[in-house]
Amino acid sequence: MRLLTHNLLMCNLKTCAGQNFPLALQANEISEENTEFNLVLTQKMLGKLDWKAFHRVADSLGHTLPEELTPEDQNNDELMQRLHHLLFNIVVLSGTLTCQSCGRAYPIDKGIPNMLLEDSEEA
Amino acid sequence: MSRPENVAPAQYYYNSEEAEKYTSNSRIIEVQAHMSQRAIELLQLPSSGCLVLDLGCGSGLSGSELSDSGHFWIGMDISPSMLLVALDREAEGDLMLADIGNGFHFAPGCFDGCISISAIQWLCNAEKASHNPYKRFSNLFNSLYKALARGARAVFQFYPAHPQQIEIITQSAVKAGFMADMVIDFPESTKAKKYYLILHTGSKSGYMNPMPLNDEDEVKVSKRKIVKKEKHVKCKNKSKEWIINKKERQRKQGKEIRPDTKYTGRKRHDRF
Repeated sequence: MRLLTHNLLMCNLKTCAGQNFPLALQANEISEENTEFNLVLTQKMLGKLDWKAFHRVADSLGHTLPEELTPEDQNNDELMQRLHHLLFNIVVLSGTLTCQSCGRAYPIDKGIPNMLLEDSEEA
Repeated sequence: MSRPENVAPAQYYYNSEEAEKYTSNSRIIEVQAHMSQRAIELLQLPSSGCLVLDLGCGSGLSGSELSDSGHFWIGMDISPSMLLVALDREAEGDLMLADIGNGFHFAPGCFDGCISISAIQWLCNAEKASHNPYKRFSNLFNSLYKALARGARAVFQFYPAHPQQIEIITQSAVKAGFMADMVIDFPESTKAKKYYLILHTGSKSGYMNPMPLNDEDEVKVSKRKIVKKEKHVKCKNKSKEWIINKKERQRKQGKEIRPDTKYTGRKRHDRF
């Protein structure tokens, strides 16, 4: 699972739909991929990001980012390359995603988060 | 043709053996790739840099078509074996193990499009006693409506078992707030026929503010027109007209048919 997906994903339970963003990420194993830098894609994804949550996750993985993102940063090539690396190249191979309000944990295995619900949890 | 939906639930049907076919069987790969290309064409995405959701992504075949055009995709599937195949094929998007019939929750309006190849017909079957296909469709379309950006489209390719299924699916989508269109490719052929359901979340462009009325403007009311239906005339069996009609029908089904000539449907001479 990439950090971009983490920044968009919410708890799958109907009872806490959308109130508990983001899911707490505990990463046990991380791999770094090497995809080609794509400026347009990165700029477009920035519009979708919740910067606060992204900043916190990047911080927990040991990458420091500016507190706030200004519109001029879109033309900052070095920052864009770093963001592209963080968004698309860092893959969490194993770990857990935990909902902060209901405490439901979703395991990540081989880079695939398991969002399946039990019968009793189904909507 | 047997329908896999009637054999077992998707997560069991697509076991490692069935999933293997999606790497080794060139016929399956070709058909899937072709449908994906068509669906992406119908999606009408801007040139590059979009975030697309792939429902029932399976081995990530449709995703690789998306990656080729410079988009990023997040895929969901219920079959772990198919997702492992996707990992083997080094799918460029992100994968997720989830049941689309339960709905999903993403940041509102984050996706620029959604694609789904041969997946939603699985939801028509109730695999457990607690499953209600109507409920599961509404879960799916409600969460999709939330996750899609305004002006975005979703394209679903699926194989309906009977016309009622199309109706159920379209109705649930419309209830969730979508505008729905159906495209049927090769409608006359039984084999090559493909159904594509296109959903819009409402258009961003093309909307014009209505102009206020002036004194000179009159509100136009047109008279109701009665359109007479053309009566279907049956032509005589084995007549020239009948033969030409039949040949035309078969041509539309993609069969190889001799061209119509002056000899077509002509009576033989008496002395023969």
